[in-house]
Amino acid sequence: MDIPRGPLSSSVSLNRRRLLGLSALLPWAPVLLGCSASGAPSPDPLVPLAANAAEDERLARATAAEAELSEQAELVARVRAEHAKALRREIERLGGDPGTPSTTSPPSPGPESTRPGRTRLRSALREAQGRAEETVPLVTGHQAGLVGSVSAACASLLEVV
Amino acid sequence: MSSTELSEDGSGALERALGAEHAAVWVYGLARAFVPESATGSAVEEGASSHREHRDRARTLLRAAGATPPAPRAAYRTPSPVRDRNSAIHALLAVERDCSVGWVAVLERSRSTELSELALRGLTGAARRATKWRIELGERPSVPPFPGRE
Repeated sequence: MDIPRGPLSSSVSLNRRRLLGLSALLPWAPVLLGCSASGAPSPDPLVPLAANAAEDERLARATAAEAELSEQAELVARVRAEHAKALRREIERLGGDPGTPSTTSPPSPGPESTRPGRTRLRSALREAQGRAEETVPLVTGHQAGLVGSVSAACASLLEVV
Repeated sequence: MSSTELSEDGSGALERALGAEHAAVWVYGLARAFVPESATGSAVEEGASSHREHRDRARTLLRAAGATPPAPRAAYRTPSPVRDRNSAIHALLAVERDCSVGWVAVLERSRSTELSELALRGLTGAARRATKWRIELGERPSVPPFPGRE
């Protein structure tokens, strides 16, 4: 999957809607999209997860400026940065293009920016957990363990934030 | 789920995850005596009930695949003797980590959606509770980046 550059926030949220719509129709459907007939795993399902993790890291870094949330937000940033790194490494190992990690500031603030930092972080983590969960049935082996662990970490971060 | 859906590899991993769930059920029973009624006490009850559920589902899947599920042991050794609330919570954290490791191994070897779903639920629950126990103990960081792969 090719991650469009440019206005990251709009393209990513479009992808999210599409993914969420698809998964609502096919919860845990036994389609091994991540595997070709030869059994070679495809990096494609991991690409949006890597972008999502990097996006959460940026959101958490921005939220860490809020004094009462700084410790929790920094933990979210550290964990999601590790996710982005591991997912990109895995995408590269499988011969895919993880995309260029963006170093820009968080996606342009839309109506979301008026919500308190905690609410925004929690909603990002819930979405990240769900997206990783929906990806588990699309991958196998090492990737399934990695993506499952990412989902479990996001669920755990929700205990903290 | 048909017997062909549980590979030999997957079956072995599921047996080990079940072993960790047996230990968790036992340790949660032990911890109950040291963690009084409170918010923490109800987290102990919730954890105990989740582990019983995952243990039962693991047993059912193994039987359906024609395997004999391993039986629980009479007792389990905890990382340090459980004598008070603190040592009890340490023991709870240890079993949650073991369960996380067990379920990630199942996830890596699963070829069925039913088994993957159980493994992900087992992993997620164990990781969340481990975080709660780390917070109770004041351990930092309270969330490892890759639960079950630490």
